[in-house]
Amino acid sequence: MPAEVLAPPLGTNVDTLLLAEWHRREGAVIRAGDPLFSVETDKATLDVESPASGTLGRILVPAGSDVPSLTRVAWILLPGETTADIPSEATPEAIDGPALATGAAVTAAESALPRGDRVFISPRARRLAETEGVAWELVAPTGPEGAVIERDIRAALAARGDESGLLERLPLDGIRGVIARRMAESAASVAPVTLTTEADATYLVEHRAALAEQGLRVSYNDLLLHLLAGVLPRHLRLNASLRDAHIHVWKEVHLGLAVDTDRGLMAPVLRNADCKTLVEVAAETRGLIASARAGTLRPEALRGATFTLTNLGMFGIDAFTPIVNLPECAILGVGRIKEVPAVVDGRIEIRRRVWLSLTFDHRLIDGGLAARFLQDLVRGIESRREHVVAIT
Amino acid sequence: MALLTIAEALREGIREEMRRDPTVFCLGEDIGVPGGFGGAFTVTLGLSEEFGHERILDTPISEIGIAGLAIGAAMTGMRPIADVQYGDFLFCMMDQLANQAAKMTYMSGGTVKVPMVMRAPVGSTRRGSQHAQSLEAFFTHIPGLKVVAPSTAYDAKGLLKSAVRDDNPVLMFEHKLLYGSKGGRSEKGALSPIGEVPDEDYTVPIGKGIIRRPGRDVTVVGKLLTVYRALGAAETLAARGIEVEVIDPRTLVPLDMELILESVRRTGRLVVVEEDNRTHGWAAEVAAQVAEEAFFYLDAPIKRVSAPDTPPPFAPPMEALYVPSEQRVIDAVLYVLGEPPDAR
Repeated sequence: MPAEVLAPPLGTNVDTLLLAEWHRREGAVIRAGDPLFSVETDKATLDVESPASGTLGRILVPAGSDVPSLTRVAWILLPGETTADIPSEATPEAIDGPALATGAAVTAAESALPRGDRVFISPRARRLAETEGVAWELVAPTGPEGAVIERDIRAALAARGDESGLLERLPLDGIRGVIARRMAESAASVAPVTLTTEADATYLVEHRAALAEQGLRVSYNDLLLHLLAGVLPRHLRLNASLRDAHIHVWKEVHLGLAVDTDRGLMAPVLRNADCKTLVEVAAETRGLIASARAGTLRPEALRGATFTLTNLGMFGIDAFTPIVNLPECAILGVGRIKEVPAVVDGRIEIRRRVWLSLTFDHRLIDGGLAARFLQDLVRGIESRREHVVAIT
Repeated sequence: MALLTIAEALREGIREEMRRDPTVFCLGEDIGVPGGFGGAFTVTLGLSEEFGHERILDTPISEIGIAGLAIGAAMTGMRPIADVQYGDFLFCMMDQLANQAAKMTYMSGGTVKVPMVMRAPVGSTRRGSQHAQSLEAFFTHIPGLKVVAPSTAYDAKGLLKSAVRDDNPVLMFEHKLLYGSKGGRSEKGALSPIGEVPDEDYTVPIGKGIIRRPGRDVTVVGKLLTVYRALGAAETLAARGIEVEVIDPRTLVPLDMELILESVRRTGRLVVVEEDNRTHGWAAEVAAQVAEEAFFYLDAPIKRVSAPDTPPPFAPPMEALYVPSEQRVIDAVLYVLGEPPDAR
């Protein structure tokens, strides 16, 4: 029997993934391990390898389709097999169904139905959709056998408003689509409250410079992630997520780090951050950021965060109101560290200060908890530290 | 201008061509015998009175003989108009027609012409399996034959004249339900369209189709009787707001694909209706050419409405199922429009 090819398992926060591209065509000879197709999920692109050697017998899901994980997307013919060996798409349940008792009735009933989950489009409609930039996958089909036809594209065009002055029309799909969906979901469901405070980061800056002199280059993000990993275990109600109408409080700290990439915003996860040294944090984070920018993150590197850090300091932003990364409870936004005159022990000194913006979901916790967490974090930032680290 | 049936229009066409050109003559079974029908469907009725039995030539019952005589006469300078009583009998002359007449010009490097006309009635009219076939697809597959299929009196006369004047063998298919034959030769259920036919000399060019009814939603191509089934379906559907364009190619070889393609490019949908058997058929060829030449204009799968792959049945209820009906055309149009089928 031909080998089936499945869409890979998903990240926790996404219900479908986008089958972005088929690397091989039907009929191509392939070996197990060859990259077969790519998917975009949870803000990353991932190549999926062929599970078997043989011939790519039939592609069931065209590029550009959203598919649930573990959906069969293709059949690979093993040596000696032909497309005739591909099992019919009918499920065993359907075959056992009482409606299919007589052969002739089956044929008639089946031919009247749309062909599975795949949506077809007529050549004429596709031509129009491409000319006009209509995302036809989103158009309600009314044609024969559930296909999208010209009038459906025309209806979508008629629903558009005045477009004079339009520069370009970009599809809200792929990573942009995932971000859009999740941001909308967050904005629609979270009860966000943002607390802002200012911390004195002078010692933090000195610490970083001192480490650099010793040959250890760490970023402010590395320092902040390490600090968060130390503080969060004392405030575990912020190390939580809302799922199935229950607040899930996690004992392990997995920190998401928002990374701006050409492909869009991504949040790779530093797992078990509370168990890692600063050196480990720095090394791992560097790798995650590089992978995120290269688009080579694996789905598991993007899932399971319990708290997220987002930093716009490098862009000269002082403070902002982050959006909670569902289903997490809270997210910390960090602004730029800048020199300001500050009162220290009754005297004005030039200090380096930073704004912290903590957005939390008021459904999960109240302001007091969040404020105490923020206070604790500020203390951590402001504390003097020894300029040595354990090199592991 | 006169109002004529197709049988009358053909008769007038033959008469005028015989008057115009002394090399034109008719041959066939019982086409000029005194007191006879004037051919199986009255087309040559009365012509022997004007032209005599030398030019309205009654033959023995031998189709291979008719064909051989006609082909030989054509090759040697005459312009014969031969006929068979039923198109089914063309099979009796297959070697003469397919192996000799169709190939002669090619095999002689163009030095030998075969300017003959072979007329053949087709269509299922309660005459069973051997007097009722629609053979158009069969003969459009033979290179070297031109094939015409008029569905109106105007086209019948105009195409007959073009066929007589053409230097190639031309096969003319005529539908038994469209002749308008009278008396003992009138057919049950005949449509007998009567149309205006000019008195002056005119021709209908071989290879030019016509739009019988303009419409923007779907192109329906028919020929002979199925043109009228398509027009009936179009009338019914118009009441439901569906505008069907009906095309009658009139000539099957060469086929006016430009007309069909231009129409499909506008409507995006094609239904082809034929009385021929479905498999490897004429509708299949039209569909294939449209799929090749106008694929990106198509908004729905192409649908064929054909007779099933059986001989025409004799029993009237079976024949009613066999011959494409208006309702089957309507069903196909509704399908390509994505509309629900009519309740039964």
